[in-house]
Amino acid sequence: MSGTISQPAESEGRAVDGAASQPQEITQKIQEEARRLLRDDKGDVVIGYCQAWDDEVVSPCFVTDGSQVGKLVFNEHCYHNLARYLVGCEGYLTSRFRTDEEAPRVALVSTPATLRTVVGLIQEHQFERDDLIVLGIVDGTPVGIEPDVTVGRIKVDRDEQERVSAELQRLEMMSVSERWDWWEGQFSKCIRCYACRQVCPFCYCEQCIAEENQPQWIDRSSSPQNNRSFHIIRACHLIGRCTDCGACDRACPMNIPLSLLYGKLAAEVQRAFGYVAGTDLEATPALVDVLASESGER
Amino acid sequence: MEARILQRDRLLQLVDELIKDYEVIAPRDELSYGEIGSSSEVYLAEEKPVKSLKEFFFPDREVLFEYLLRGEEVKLVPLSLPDDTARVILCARPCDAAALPILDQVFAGDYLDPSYLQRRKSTLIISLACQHPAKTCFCTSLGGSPAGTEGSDLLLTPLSEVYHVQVITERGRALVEKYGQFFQESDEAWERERALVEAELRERVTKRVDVEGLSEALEFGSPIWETLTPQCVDCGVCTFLCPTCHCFDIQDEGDPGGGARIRLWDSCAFREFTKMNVAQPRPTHFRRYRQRIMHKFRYYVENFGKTLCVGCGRCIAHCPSGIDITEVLNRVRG
Repeated sequence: MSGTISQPAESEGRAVDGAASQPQEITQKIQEEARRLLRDDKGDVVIGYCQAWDDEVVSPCFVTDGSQVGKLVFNEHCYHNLARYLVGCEGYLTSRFRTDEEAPRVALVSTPATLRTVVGLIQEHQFERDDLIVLGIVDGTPVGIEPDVTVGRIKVDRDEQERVSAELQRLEMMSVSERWDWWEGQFSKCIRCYACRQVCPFCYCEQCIAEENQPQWIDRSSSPQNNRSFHIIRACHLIGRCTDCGACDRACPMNIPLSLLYGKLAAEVQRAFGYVAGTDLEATPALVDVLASESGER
Repeated sequence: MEARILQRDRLLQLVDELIKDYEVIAPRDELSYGEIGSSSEVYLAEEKPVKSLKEFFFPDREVLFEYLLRGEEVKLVPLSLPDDTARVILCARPCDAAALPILDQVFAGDYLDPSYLQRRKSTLIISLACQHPAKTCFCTSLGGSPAGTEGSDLLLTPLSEVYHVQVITERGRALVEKYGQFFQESDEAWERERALVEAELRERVTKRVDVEGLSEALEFGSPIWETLTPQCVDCGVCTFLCPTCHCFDIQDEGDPGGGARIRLWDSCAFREFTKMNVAQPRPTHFRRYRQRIMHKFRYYVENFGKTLCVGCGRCIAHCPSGIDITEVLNRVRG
């Protein structure tokens, strides 16, 4: 059984690969669009990336003024899923700390995984398609949404896909008890900083089960048992939703390869239901489909 | 300065001798310090371990007491102090050691925390000067140094052929005397070389922050906080990896039949931080981040005369959003 989400036909991938833009071109295009949106008063804030404290580090940034547009960059270090800033109780589109009239018009620099995330968030009624100006970067994989402006084309990182696929296969070759021990070893490293959850756009719940205490579903301290409960429950909450952006892996200071867990679950969802999260705005999400059919509504 | 010399090839032999007499803790992999059973397990890398030393004094999960319900009767099992096995922490980073006297202000000041004190008393710290300060390090701005002695009992500085061993405390001297066969007296030439090495290591720390007058410059009511760190995702990375952050929560874990009261690390970044029955006093991000900066660079200074930061740079290196606290401080100052 393959452990990865299948990619589109090779020919389609190659066509885009062939036309991949240079990072500088993407940067330039993002800046142009941001300048235009702010100048023409079509948008209030552009969420993108800017250079941080080192050449190899970028930071999400929020440009509201034409004079700041020059900060925006795009390069291989831009892995953060910026859709994270749209949702949740302080999110740009869903904040409960302002009135609807004060809602800003947001433009979002979106990598392919972010585009799939936007689709998922619209399906989950966090906001409407028209609430967002999408500055999309595409790579030929299905993204389920047409960007308002395509600001760049990048290549799929085949090496990374192969690495993940090989790692998943290695885990699947293990016996159940070996695999359990391996994950226990990973979860025991967890310090419960919740970086994985905090960078994830799908973890927009105002009250996370990890903090709920009436009843207390998961104890808060970092013990192997508590950590295991947290990560398994979080994984279950992401089934059929995770768009494999990898932000959690990158954020985890303890190098826990969480995306292997979510990737495996995504592969199972694809195998069982033919559903790949974020690739079709009109599709019924797998979990909704299953729940509806089980309750006899379908 | 009292000092000895340790031949390079004898360090590992010394470690194996120490393991016979002490619980020995050293950098064990890229993530953390941990107990080692042999000198071959010491993991010496350019980068400091992701986690600091604080968990060996202030664990991320500590049982305060346990309870058992037997029929109608509740039985309390009080806090058991950590065992008093003598521990040696080896190859500590000078910044991690420097954090301990800062933590002492809270856990061994007005209030004496029994388990913290027990761990402090039973632990001897041998630091190793940092040969490869990272781009994120700024210890020299906080009064530290890659070859700083604060909080250590002994400091090893690698010289061209040997380790220079600086004796900082009585405890350190006792250890050097106990294992006298490993050490020889230092001389003026070695001392000169050590001073040159430290000067050179200090030069390699390039990130700076100006803390002169900083605490007075930080104003709770300033409008700058509101737009300072919108990219922050409110995770606990910076606070949990910080060797000086020490906020904790107390939680009951278990079921009606039995359980425990636990002290665990908390973070001002969390939405639940200090949440009370009536309200969350810091409902939005900027209020929580302001708390972090004000606590470290103003309140702690006012309370204890020390800054709650040693410049280890972990909060910069591991921030998922690329936030650099030195830049933040520079901006707050205006």
